[in-house]
Amino acid sequence: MKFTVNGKEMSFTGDEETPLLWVIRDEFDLKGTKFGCGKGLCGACTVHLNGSAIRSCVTPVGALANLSVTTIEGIGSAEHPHPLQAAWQALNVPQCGYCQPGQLMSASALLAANPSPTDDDINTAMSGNICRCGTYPRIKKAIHLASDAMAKSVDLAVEVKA
Amino acid sequence: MHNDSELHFSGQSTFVDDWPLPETTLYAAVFVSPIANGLLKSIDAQKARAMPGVKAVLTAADIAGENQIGEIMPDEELLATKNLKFIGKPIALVLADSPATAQQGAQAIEIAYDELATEFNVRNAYHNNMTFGDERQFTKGDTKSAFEQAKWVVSGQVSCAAQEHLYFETQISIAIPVDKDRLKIISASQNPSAIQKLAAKVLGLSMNSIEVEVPRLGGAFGGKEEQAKPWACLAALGAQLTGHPVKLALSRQQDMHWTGKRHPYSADYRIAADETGRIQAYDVKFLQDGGAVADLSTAVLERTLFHATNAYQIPNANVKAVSCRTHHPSNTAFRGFGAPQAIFTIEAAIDHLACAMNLPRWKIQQKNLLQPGYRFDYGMTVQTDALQNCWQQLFKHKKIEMRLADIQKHNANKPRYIRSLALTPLCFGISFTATHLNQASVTVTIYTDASIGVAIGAVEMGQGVVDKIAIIVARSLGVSVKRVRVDFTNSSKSPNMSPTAASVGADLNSMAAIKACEKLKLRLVDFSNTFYGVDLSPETNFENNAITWEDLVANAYLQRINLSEHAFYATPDLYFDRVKEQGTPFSYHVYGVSAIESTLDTLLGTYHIDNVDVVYDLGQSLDTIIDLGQMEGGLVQGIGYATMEEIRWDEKGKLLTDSFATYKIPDLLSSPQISVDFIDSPSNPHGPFSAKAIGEPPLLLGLGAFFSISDSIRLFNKTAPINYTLPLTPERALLALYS
Repeated sequence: MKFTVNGKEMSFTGDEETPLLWVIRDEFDLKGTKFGCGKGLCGACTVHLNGSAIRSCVTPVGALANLSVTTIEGIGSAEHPHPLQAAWQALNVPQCGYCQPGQLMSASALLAANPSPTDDDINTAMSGNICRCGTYPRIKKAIHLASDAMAKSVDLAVEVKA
Repeated sequence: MHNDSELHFSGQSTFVDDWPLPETTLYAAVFVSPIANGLLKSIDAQKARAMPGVKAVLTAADIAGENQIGEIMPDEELLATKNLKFIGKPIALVLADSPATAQQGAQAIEIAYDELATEFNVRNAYHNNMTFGDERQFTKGDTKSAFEQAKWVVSGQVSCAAQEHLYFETQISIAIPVDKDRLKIISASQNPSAIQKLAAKVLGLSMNSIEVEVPRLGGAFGGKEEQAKPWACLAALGAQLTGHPVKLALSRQQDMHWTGKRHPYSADYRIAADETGRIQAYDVKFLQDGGAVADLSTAVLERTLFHATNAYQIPNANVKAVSCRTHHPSNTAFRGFGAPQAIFTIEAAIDHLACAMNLPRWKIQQKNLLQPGYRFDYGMTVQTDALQNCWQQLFKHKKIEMRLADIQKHNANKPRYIRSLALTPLCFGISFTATHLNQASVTVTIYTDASIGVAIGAVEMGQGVVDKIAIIVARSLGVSVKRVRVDFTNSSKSPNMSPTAASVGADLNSMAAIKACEKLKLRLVDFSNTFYGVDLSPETNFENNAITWEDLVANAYLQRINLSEHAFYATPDLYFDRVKEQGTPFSYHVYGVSAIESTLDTLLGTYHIDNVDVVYDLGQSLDTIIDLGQMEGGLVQGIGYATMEEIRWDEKGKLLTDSFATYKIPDLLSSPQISVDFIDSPSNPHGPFSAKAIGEPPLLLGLGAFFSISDSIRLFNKTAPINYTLPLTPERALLALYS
């Protein structure tokens, strides 16, 4: 079966029931997406499927034929970060870092659909992404910061590096 | 600035699960005891061994060395031979060519056993003499006559539930055979040297045969201090016996079922005050549920004793504590380490007193706050007025009295949504109470390209120790922090390291790093003065110096100057006499006060923690952004412990709350607005550049969430029974509102 991952066409020939998470991590060697619970309850494994946030640990890879998957490696890089990634760095959001790729994938799906979210919008979109380190206050601030920067076309990454 | 932050946001930071492995790697699954107490009669692994893909099934009989991983007490076999003491006790290890096959293999194992009676109630365990070690007692003054003479005396019971660590990265280890009788273990552990020691013991090797590396942890919170060791030792055993690399990772459910939690406590208190609310005497006895094996329970118990009177001066105190054995998985370290249960208990006692005296609780708290010169029951003396400062600043800057008046006005007509504000003062002792652990060694190396590597004896788990050390090294050498990289924690680079715990990882390792850098810098300055014929001072900043850092390092190397320095730090002047229960167990104390405001829906029993304001004594912070993150996260975790995190077991001891669906922890929606002021205390000779520790204390400042909600319950229902049971879930709140 064929589908795209971060814009590249990939194929997978194993069991179609295999959760997407393990295909991404073990077959495609994209280790940024994390295992947290295996039941779609914590958000650590969040990726985009055609732009929407989904839990890759409960998504059978067989459901993906000809669809487009984006992982944390696909939304930006250390050199060219997504505005959210720049905001994450500016506010020093991560502590242990393990849940953060999932947080960023949920947040980026939110901003793609709603570029100026309110606090309530953020609560609704993000409350399924758990963080045991308790970085929530900064996650909320960073989403607002990225949203404002995108609205004003400010490159946060440049400001952070300066 | 968090060094790892760039890696974390781009998904490039390597955790143990991301470690690249060769094709020959075998995957391990663990077969465990399905019962909480019993005798193992036989193991039948025939079906498992016959499964395609299963390479080996190992039991205790395969262990070449000692089948023992208990440290404080030798009561913990790696693989059970006879006694099954809790659900989740490892019995056999299955090694297969895929994780799924290994799990199927484990499911195919059958055992025969005799089931024995179980005990999950800590009070029954105590009465049946099921204990770890002796009862401990701290005393001060004469409680007997103080109680007789006091105007007000109240007494009651407190119950603190377990708390699940729920670190996001589950327990995981990889063991790689490197050479004959030589192994490398990559483990998600806070305690790499303990894993080195125990793996060597189990494998029948010496410690110099085992190297343990920890890249970073996806959360730990104490849950990987002792309880990473069975999985690391099992992976090592598999690697030794098969000659293949072995990876062992627990699923979320396995992790929740099989590993220990924060210790549940049951306590009896009695407190006395004079007519003004000044506390005259406090008598308390703590019964700790240590679970099935000793693990760290007696050490946790010790910190309960030290923090029994929290931030208050009490002239007469009698504090007893005992660790009890039950058939729960062994309870273990968890951020706060026995202090949350102690502090909740005295806060409950003061709340009870305030109800009886019909005084606002905060007035009793304020009247009894620690002042300089007060001597704790264990012998140390309060050195600063930091607690008084925190309290006063909180009242002044966060307008506490005005807000209390506003809240009173809001609640006057008994609206559906009742608001309350609760204060929690805190005193927390910094140092391992096991004195010998207060040591660290650090190696600072300048490479020939002028970059700097640092090997430390601490594990990064989100607390920012790596960044703090990098800041320290850069500042001490007089170079940019961009030149400094802290190595992954490695038992061969930083030998005999203490666990990263007790909030002291940054303190101990920074102090050692400063010593190493001072020696290196002096050597380089001396060299520079001779070689270049200039007169540099030890304060030179090489980033704006005529002689560049690169040039200096290159020449120093050619002139055969040692560019590497190892230094050792042991916290001075610590001792504790466990016969007299007197001494100086801590190098210093930290202080703070929180105000927690909540809104309770009196129709539904649901609530929201609205605002948390904190003033905390941080000394001279090395990085306030990191420290503020610790404060925010610790508060959220403490509020979770006090309110929503509820563990339930069935009557056989099987965990019922075994997923994120049934064990609720705070999410973005439930987390409050947090505002923090740090006060600078002028100097702290025991902290690096006068910094103070911040890992655990913030969790304790979240306990006030309980009292904030219970105040609202009492405003709605004046006859609500006083029930000091953690956590105060919405279900319990609703029952109290209408009982």
